Amino acid sequence: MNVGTLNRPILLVEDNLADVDLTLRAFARRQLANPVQVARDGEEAVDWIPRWEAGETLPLLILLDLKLPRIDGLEVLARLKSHSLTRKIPVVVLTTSEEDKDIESAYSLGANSYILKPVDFVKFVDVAAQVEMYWCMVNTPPR
Amino acid sequence: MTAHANSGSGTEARAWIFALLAALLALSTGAVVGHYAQQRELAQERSQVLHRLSTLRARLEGIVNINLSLVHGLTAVIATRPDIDQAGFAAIADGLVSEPYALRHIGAAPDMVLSLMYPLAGNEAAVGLDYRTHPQQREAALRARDSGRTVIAGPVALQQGGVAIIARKPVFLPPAQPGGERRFWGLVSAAIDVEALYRQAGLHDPDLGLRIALRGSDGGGESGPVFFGDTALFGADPVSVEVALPGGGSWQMVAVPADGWGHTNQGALLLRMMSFLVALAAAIMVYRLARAADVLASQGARMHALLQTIPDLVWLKNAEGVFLSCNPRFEQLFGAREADIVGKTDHDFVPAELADHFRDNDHAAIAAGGPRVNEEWVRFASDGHRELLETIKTPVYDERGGVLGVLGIARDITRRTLDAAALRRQKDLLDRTGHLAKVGGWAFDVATMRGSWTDETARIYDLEPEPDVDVAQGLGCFHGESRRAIEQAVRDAIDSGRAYDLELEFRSAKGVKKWVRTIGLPVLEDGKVVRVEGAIQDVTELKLAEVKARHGELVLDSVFQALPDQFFLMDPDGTIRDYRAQRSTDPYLLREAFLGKRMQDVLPADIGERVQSSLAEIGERGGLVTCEYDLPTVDGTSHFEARLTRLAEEGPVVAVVRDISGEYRSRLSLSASEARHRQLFERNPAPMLVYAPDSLRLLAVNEAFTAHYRYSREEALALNLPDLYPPADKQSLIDLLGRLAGLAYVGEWRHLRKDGSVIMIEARSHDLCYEGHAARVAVITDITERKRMEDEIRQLNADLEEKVGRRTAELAAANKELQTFTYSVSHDLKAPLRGIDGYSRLLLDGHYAELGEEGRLFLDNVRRGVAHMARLIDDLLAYSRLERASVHGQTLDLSQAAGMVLDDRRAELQARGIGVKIDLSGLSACADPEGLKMVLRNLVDNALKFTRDSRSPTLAISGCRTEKSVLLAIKDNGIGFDMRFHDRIFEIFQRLQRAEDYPGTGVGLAIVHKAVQRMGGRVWAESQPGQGATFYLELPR
Repeated sequence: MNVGTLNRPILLVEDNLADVDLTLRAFARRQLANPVQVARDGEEAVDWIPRWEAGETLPLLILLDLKLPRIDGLEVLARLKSHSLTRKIPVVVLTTSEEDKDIESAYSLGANSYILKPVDFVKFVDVAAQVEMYWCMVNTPPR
Repeated sequence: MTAHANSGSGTEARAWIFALLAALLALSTGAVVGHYAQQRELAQERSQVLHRLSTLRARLEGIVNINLSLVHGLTAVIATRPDIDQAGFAAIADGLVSEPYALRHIGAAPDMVLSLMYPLAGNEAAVGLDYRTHPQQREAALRARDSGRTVIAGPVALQQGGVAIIARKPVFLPPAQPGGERRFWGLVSAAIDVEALYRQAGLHDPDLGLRIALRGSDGGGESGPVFFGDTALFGADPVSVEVALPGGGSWQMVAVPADGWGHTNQGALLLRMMSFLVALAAAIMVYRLARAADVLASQGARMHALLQTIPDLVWLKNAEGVFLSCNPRFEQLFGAREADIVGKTDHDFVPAELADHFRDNDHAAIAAGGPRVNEEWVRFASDGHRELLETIKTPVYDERGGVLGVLGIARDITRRTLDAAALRRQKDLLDRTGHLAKVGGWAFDVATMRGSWTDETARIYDLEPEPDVDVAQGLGCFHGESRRAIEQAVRDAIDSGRAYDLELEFRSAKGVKKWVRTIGLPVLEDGKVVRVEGAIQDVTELKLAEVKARHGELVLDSVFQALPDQFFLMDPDGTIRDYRAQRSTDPYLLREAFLGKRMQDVLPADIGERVQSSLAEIGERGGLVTCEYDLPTVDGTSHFEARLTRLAEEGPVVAVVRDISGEYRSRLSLSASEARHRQLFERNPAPMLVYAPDSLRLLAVNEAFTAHYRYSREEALALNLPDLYPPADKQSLIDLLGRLAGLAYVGEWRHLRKDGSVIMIEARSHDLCYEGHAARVAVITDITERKRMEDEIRQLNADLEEKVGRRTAELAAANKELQTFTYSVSHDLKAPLRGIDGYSRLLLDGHYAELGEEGRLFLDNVRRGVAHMARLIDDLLAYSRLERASVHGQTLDLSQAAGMVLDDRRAELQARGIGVKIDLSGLSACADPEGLKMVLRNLVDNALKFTRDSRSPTLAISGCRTEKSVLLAIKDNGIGFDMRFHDRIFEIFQRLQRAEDYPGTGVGLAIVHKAVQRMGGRVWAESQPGQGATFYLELPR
């Protein structure tokens, strides 16, 4: 386990409240230690950039839904990946879209992972656990 | 004679001369005579010998030929009587084997076995001889048979005694059928007694003066053995001739003078040298007499008498040219007595120039040391006549070799020369005229069958002129029928003294085919034909001209047979001189009906008058005059056209008459049809016009034209075609018109009417002959209205296209909207589902006890509904994705693709114990990899689903290749379906089973259908309820 990662937050960009709640619950079931910050739309997500520039702790991981009000998820991704400060932050696209176009675009813009959100809650919890396990414990993030 | 009688001193002087002569000759006999003979006469001697020898040869050949011709007659008889017996043979042969001929015996060997013989007596031993096996005679006999010619063998010694030449002649029978091959009958052999032959030829003649030898047994020529005379003669520089034998062989005959060369005393030579030899003899005798003085006087008198009477001039001059003596003939030359001549020189009697010439000859003889011969014309002083003298001058030497003087002997050769010259001239004249007339002369002796011919004859034969010709050679140029005719004629001439005059075809030595007229006139002596003389004329050109003329006539006839015309040749007054036409049975058209009559008279009076005036017209101005008339014929009435023209001014008139009834009738009907056509033109509802292609002037317009264009007819006919066109179109019209000739044309143009209004027209035009001139007719259709409607339609079409484009764009936009809609809906619908499911689950987990049995059941149902909804959304998305996805066709191995799909389902297949059979080896299809996988997966899943209750479920995938595609069959033994619902199963959200029996969204087969459609294939199924189902896939290869 990487000690330096423990306190770094996870940014969840998700407009659907039920999904936010269920995600948080799923993480809670796994006793995830990292705090979870939530951006409720694309605009909120990009608003984080100046705050990080101002010195706030960079998130360990960003979980990004694609279908977002105001600023589209892919647009958010593009901004994150084009900014020197945020470019290295792993972004996991967590979406219900199985569209080839979306998958293709996400990876092209630099997404680090693309995960389909299952409808079945049991499966959803499982997916959340795997994401947390991998990105927060197995993976070594950039420093 | 006079001198001798006159004076004693003269006698003494002559004695001296004789003594001198005798001394001269005693000293120089060898030098003078031998030299002379060698130099001047040896060649003549040889020529004499050759002449004699040629005579002998002619006789030899003649006798052999006569004997053979007897045999030839015999073979001719045999050929007609091949089955002749000994008695018949003897009867014929009897006349042949008799004294006048040299034939000893004649035998005949049918089939090569000697079985007929005459005379039989003494020759019995020879009968039965088989030539084919006889060691000595076989070769010659076979040669005769195989060559088809007479073969001469021998001379051979006969068993019966004597020596004979054997002539063997093959006998051929005429062909059994005309055109067949002649058949060999056998041989006829004749023995010619050589002694009789030699005797008859004169080889044993005691006065022959020649020694003769012959060689060439069996016709072997100069290389054969010697069989007559002394072999040594062949080495004694003999004169040689070739004796030609029938059948191609020959003998060589040679001769030398009986006393050897240079010792000849032949009469001919004696005569030739008479003057000289007389002098010689005289000199010898005088010399002897000088030694025996007692007989001198009487002998001298005899010599003197000889000298007095010989026709030659004899004189003797001393070295200084002073005459010592001369004879009376010489006296005539100088016109002086011997007494006056002796002691003088030539200068005293002849002009100095001639005298010098004489002296020069004297000196030349002295210088040469031997006789000199010269010829010169001299005038006799006695009577002034001229003679050509051949003078021999010989130097005379004394005992010590000193020159005593010159002896001269001169002989008058005027006559000889004159004769020869005249003869030559005559011959030349004959030859020249002969050549001009192509007439040659010839003659031959019957005894020798040899003769001579003129140069022209030789020329006709294409042979070198030669003095001595064999008759056989002359006949050799005739062949076939001509040969038979000429041989018969010659035979008749010889045997019956009948003259002949024949025109025959012959082939010259160079193979040139000629026609000759040959005339033969037998010459009789003592009632017997001894010679035949004749002429031969080359009439080839004449003959060819005749043939040509005959051909010409035939050609002319056949030409008129081929032509339908009648052809008259008339005098200027109409008298018919020749008439030609196809042979006709119509008596009116017979040649005899016209010839000699006037054309005007053979025709009905009214037509005759017209012919008369035509003739008069031709007589006046020549040229061609045509005249047409009707005449009754065997077929009814015919219409004739006579074309008359004269060949020359005042010359004959030629009329060519042709039956033009057909043409005439069509001409009549033509004018009728013309009227009909004019009606058609005038009354045609379409505007029509006729224009001249060169001037473009309108030649005719119809009523419809004037009505439509609003011109009057007069106004229209004053227009040129381009006047109908707007200015902008005129140039392209004129360009077009230049290319139209001979072509039919259809095109659209703008036309102007009189009021300037523009109409659209379609013009159809083509060439026609209008009143004898080239023209074009155009039919006009006003298409203004049609054009307007076409334009309207075009505009409508354009509008429609625009509208369609617009709608399509709208549709595309709508489509796009729909896609976005689908996308959004699926996405947005899933989120609440996840919430329902998630919270249901949390409720179950966190509040299990409070919910109770029933509450938990409700929540499970909620979650099942959510799961179904989620599947529906996924399928719907998959389906819509398929609609939008791009398809990438590539060749895929079907076996592999099916294998992959089944691998995904391996666990279920094994768990359920489903029998799987795949038979797709080697098959491939052109398809999108993902699309194909999706199709196969759905079909397999479908099969698995509906075999759920089968006792032993099976799944078989097989395929086959068709021409352009691949056909797959996926067969199960599940519940199947009613074919009534076949089409519905492929529609989206259509289900045949209740969801609680067979869960599903009703999208799977729709996806299959859509995917197959997108890949250019086809899917269908066959089934019956409870009988399983087979789904067929057809994909492009």
